Amino acid sequence: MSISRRKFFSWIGAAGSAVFISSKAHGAKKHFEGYPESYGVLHDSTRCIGCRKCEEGCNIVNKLPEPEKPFEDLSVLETKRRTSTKAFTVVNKYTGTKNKSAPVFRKSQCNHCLEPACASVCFVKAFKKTEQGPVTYDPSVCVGCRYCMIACPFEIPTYEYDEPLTPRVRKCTMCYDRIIENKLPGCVESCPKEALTFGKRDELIKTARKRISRYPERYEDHIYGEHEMGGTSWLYLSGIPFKETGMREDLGVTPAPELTAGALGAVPIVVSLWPVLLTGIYAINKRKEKISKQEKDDAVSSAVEAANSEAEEKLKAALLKADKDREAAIKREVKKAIDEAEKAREQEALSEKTGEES
Amino acid sequence: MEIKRHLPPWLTVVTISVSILFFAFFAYAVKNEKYCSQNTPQKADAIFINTLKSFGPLEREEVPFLHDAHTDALDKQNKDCSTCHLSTEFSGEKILSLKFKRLEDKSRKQVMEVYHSECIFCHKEMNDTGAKSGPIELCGECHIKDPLYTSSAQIPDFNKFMHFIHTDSLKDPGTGKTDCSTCHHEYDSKTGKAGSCRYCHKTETEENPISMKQASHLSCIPCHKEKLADNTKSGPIKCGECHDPLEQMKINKPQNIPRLNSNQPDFVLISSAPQTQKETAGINPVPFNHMSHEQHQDTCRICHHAELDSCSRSCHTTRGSEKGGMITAEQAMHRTGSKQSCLGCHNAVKKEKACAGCHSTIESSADNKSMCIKCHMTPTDTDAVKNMDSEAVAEMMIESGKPVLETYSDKDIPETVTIKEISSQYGPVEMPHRFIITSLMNGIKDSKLAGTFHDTGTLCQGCHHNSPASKIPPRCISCHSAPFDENNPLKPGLKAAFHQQCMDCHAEMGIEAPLSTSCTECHAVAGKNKLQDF
Repeated sequence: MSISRRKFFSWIGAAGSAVFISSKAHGAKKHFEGYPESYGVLHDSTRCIGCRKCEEGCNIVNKLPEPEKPFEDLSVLETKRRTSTKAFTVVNKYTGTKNKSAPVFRKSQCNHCLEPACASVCFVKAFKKTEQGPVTYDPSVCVGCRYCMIACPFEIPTYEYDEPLTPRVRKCTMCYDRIIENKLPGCVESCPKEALTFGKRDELIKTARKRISRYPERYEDHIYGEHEMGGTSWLYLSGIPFKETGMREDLGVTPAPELTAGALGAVPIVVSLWPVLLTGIYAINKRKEKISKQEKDDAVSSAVEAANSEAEEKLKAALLKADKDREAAIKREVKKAIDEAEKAREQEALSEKTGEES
Repeated sequence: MEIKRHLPPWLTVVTISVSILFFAFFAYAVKNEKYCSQNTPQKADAIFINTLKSFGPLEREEVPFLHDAHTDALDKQNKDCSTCHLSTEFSGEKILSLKFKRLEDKSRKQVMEVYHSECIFCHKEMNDTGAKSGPIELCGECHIKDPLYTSSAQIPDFNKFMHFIHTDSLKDPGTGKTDCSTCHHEYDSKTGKAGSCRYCHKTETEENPISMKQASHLSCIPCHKEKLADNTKSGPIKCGECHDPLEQMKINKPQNIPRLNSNQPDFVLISSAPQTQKETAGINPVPFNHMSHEQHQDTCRICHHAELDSCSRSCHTTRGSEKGGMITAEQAMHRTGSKQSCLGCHNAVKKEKACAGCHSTIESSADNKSMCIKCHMTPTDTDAVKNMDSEAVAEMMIESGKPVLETYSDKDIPETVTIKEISSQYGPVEMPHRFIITSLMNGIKDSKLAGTFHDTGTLCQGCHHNSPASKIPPRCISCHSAPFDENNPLKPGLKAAFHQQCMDCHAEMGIEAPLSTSCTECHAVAGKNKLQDF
């Protein structure tokens, strides 16, 4: 007897839900709201004048190559730029619908997510969310798969394609090395207007709220990065809707790793449990097959035996009958022959009698 | 032979489709250019007939209609308004309906019938006499998809200047007086009180008062016509003469016009205590210069938005009343978002460029409780006040606090200030200190409002904020030092304090030079050292 299709699916279903429930229980922990006392930066675009001093500061502290055009050249703001291996931060110019004559500047760099997508996809743990807030990168373990670049919702990490031997992924480090030395990040240090405010992330959110409530007409009532993608260490205030400054408003508040945690969390269970389960199913199946084969064989042999004996009996009966018939036939023939002989003798006797008479 | 005579069939198809596409694109482009051009003529008398909208979506395009073209055409035939507009009895008076050939919109069918039969009938009649006429046959001639003009009509603002022009021209040559009841039909000759038409005549016709639109057309035009027939000075009759923004701009604003006379007080003592009670409850009353505020507004309606009466008598009472929308007297005077309130109107003035530099950053007076006393003044002579009426008290208090617009004398104001505390990449800044103060003073020198609310040192506090006014204010570095003070997160560090103060003020005041992003326009070029790894 073999396993039915329906039975197979019901087993698989049971196994699947067991895995799901166990991973659910695993993932039901409280939403991670960042390391306590971790640092962040608040960018206030109503204060930003687009002077590019932050780009210059970043360039200097990270010892990046000299740019093609000097930082004093503000004509580069006319084209939209993105971060590169030579510029970990760029300022772009936007025109809002509210006041077309007043351009709005927005600085772009790694947002240092509380739960970074880059770190969650990296299978060699090259990215790390540090307790201080920065998301750091360790080039010594990086294999150059560039999954981080695909995973980042803000399109920030860049890759040294022009480096043939030791290409690295490059992005803003929030000046991790400087932060642990109690120094300000390069961009924050060089901003003339405190359009960039450095501090504890929790405090920055309070500060941002205070600014909004003090000047409600000046600000959009939203702190970008407080909840986006589960929250980022870099926060933004703006006087115009955030999407008008090229920021994505479709990201939602779910941290990227959470989107894959269910599936990836199931991997160890799948890896450890499924072989056992499937082997078990296989073994049970095999055993069943074996038993049924045995039973079948037994049945066949007994059936054959029965049939044989029956046939024998039939044969015996037939032979018996044949014997009887033959005997009967012999008897009949004998009797017939006797009768005929009798008749012949009578005939002979009769003719002898007639001859005698004649 | 066969092959040579005929083009391959696919080539024919391709050629035809390409030519059709090309033609279609060309036609579209031409049409689009015409449609999108900014030069679509604007006409003040353009009406777009879409009455059927009130019965549901329109089946055909709305019909553009030039009112003045029609009145002109009728005028030539000595026909008047009644050719198109029916009359009805309304409160014992015969008034003209603003609707075309009907008194009310009964049904979709009725309205449609009226327009179709009456318009076409008249056009036909005109056509038969050989005169130029409107469309007769084709639907699309009236129901035009892309009208050749748009409406520029604007509701004319009947302000105090317009009022003066009317009272002046309606003056009785003998007595030199004007009969207010000519227009103000609810005029009380005893009190001399006459409110704005809009107090009764609202946007839509209500039970009795007809809508403002109807009231103005039915009152203004017949009167103007009458004057025109008498060959005296008259006003406009045609749509464009009143509604065309260009025509509106042409109206001369007469200078030095007399005050609108509605027996209003010159001074008011606004008190939270009942009128009968001289003693006030806790907070001092506010002496209000009614006369001076009249000069700054074009109409009484700016403040007296519902009726010409004391704000708190029956509407904005101390506890609020249903008539006043439950807005209390305190709210009516202090609401910052409202155009009619004291604070709301003053805040709007503070947004003007001359004021915005300081006022965009300093604390609003609504939050600064020490500013209350600026309006809620302490009476100077409490004994004398007891025997005076409230208007006289108000006048006395206002006289005692006459606006003075001054600051410290030049010798007390340093001519330049060198900012050099933190110069590193760039050199120090030589700030033209006295020039800035003089410019700020020049910007507000004609403002009575600034004079009333600014003291001698107030202007200095625009920059030297958060400390008492003084000839020698504390230096910036006394408060602003290292950035990102956790105990005072809104206080910028010294570098940002300077840059924010200068740049934000310049931006608010519309000062373009020096450019915020051009460092060396303020800073000396050579600094102590170049920006390096800090």
